[in-house]
Amino acid sequence: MDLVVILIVVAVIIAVEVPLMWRKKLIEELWVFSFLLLLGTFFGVINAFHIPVSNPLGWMIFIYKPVADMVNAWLA
Amino acid sequence: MKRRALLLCVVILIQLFVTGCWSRRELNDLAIAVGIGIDKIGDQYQVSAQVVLPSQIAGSKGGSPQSPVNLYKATGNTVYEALRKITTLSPRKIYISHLRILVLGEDLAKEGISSVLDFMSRDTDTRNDYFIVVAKDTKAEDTLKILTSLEKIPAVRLFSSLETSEKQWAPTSTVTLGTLITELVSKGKNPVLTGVVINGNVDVGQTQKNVETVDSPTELKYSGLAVFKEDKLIGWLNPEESKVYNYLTNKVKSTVFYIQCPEGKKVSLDVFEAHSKIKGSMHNDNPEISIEQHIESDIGEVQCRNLDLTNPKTITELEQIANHKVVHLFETTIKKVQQEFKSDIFGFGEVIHRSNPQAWKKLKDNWDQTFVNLPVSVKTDIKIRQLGKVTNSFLEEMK
Amino acid sequence: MLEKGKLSTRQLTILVMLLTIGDSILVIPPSTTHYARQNAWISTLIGMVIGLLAIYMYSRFIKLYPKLTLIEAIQKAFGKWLGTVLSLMTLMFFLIVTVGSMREVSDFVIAEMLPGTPIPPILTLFILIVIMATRLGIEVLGRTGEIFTPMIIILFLILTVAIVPQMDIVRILPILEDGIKPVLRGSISITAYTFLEPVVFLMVLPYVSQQQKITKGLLLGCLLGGTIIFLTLTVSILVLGPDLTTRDIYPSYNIARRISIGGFFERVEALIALQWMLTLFIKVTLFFYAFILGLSQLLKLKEYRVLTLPTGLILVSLAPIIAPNFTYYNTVFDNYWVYYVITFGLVLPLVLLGVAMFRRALSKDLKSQN
Repeated sequence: MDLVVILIVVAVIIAVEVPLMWRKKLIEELWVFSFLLLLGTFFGVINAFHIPVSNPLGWMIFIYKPVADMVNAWLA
Repeated sequence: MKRRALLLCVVILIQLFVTGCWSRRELNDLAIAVGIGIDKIGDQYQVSAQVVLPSQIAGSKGGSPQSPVNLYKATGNTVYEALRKITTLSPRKIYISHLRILVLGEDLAKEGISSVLDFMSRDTDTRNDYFIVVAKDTKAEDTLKILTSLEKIPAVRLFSSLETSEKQWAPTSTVTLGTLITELVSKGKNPVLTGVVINGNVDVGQTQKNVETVDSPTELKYSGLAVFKEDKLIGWLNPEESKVYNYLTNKVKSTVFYIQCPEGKKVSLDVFEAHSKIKGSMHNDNPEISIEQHIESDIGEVQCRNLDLTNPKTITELEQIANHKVVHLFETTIKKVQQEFKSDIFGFGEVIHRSNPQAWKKLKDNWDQTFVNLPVSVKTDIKIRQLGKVTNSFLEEMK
Repeated sequence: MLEKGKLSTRQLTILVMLLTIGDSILVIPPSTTHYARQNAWISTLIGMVIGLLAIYMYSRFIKLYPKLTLIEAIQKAFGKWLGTVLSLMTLMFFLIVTVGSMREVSDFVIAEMLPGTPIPPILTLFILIVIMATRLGIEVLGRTGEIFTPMIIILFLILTVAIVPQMDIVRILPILEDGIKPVLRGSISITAYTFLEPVVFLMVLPYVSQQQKITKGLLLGCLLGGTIIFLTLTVSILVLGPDLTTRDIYPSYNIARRISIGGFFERVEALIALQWMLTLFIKVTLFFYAFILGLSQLLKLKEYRVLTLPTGLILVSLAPIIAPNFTYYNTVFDNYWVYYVITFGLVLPLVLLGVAMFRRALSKDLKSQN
């Protein structure tokens, strides 16, 4: 059910934007547009199928943990 | 032209969205609870909800006279569970945003009130504008059953009379959830709650008969304050002592007290302003508290015969008598709380916290112990200003 | 020219003020008070000082990279390869902040105002307006800010004044009872979220019509926004006390609920919430715009509007994913996200300034040698 909604949304987005780009021959824009749309669909599908993502900001925690630990030890 | 049509479509479409229909709660799907009572039965919590019946309040004509409110109760392992269970009895979901009074049963209070308060603070429907009281010598559910005259909805009557009595007579204290939680958490002050009693028979009280006669057989009345240590009820203050609490916590807006004139009869003083300054200090690692109470009052009633109120010396004399009486009252009450209850309800700990924060760090974990022997000095400054409408009482002239 | 609009100085000031208020007005009080307790107001002042330094830094940026947006400046400073990598990282920063703010919008609306509603519809409605604002350009956003500001100020004043009877000065005492360290720890989140997020304006400064007045505009906006945050935080402590401010997830909403004047001006919290929705909208739009514009500048596109819808889809899909529950979001927000913002809000501009000044010194050196 959610998947249908995602597909409808994607279809609407394509219908609204692509004709303009095609007519004006904005090829570069079309590539970027498609890439972003693909990303969006990817995340949308994750939502639709309720795929659990347990640690989405893990990369941020990983990079900044040393700083955070140091500051917390000093100030808190 | 095409753009206009598109715009029109968009505007119409938007209207579908802004009406906020998704998670709507229609008014006739809700049972508006104005009073909630929580008792402990064994291991379980019994929640009783006093729900308003709008048709009876709205003053519509006809129909057999029904009670303006209904009581629903259910028992569960947690407060949240019990509240939801009520839907097996009530045709609608209980809606507590309009709550006016929360009554905690005495048994529950003795065991500890903190367990039921988290639900009230966490639920998004609750607000901070209702009062919390403790049922004395009775169960919370019974206090919600009594019908009242003058104010049709009993819970609203409980709310208004608590507010009014705190303002006019001052042996009661209005306590909201925010205040209660802050005081429970604070190591320097323990909470108090006002107690509500039922004078009369509960079974008569919940029938229409209670409001049919001039003198209601059963009434809801506020008595003194309940003293808590941590979150458990440990004792009660009588009305005089409760007033001292209100003086010290600066909650008195207006009250009346009497003093004795030199010949032994009584004079009533009408207090219209009261302000207390509590200062904390440390002497050789020992905390000390000094209290300065300012009271502005008028003469309200004179029963003495030989009182010349036109003479300034009389007024000064009366002020002195009042000072003595109030100092004595404060000192006895504070001592009683220190020695009998061993619970700092006046917030002296918080005063020390603010005046000597470093010392407080060492004192705070053991404060209730230190509180027992805390030296407290009381000074009062009572001023008598006006005399009312007449000067000397006519009693003076009587044979 | 991707962006043909022009911002007036007043519009810049207003946008800076609204961004500074942004989501801070809602999420900063519990976060800062958690560490600084009743001294959180001091944390705000510390944050404001750092904010003023940051503004000074941004004004130097204009001198050293005139008429360039942040992304263009990165490419000029670091060349093709390193510049592209850094630009992508910066763009990701803008995107992540946008997602975070949207998550906060949906969390707030669901927690306090519309409990049963699922997240996607709320965010979709929100993002559609953001997309519309972005497509219309920065000048329209500036004008929108101008229109909103009186309402926001009035609502803020109502909230602050109506609650005065419930304030108690003792709640803010004792001062500095645990020393300066907790206050400093508390000031980290304010510094980052309130005063360093205006780095996003480096994407927009070339479009201000009066370039010489930019510094004044930024400064004024920062001061105004900072004052409002300061007042909000202080009011929160004065009315609720430090304990309840930390315990409540949205203490400002709690305060709005307590407003009761004359027994009839009550239950007006939804009105006050309107103010927060507006400032949140400005923040989301600014970062969204920065991402779209930056991406278009990086890839030398001729048209940026077409990218708005797919990015909107990414955002609406990412927002629920970014944290599995509130606790996770809050922990990351308090401990790690702050440094992410500081990296791009403070470190990056400093590095860019450093590179430019180094180059200038180098070229002067070469000139004097020749």
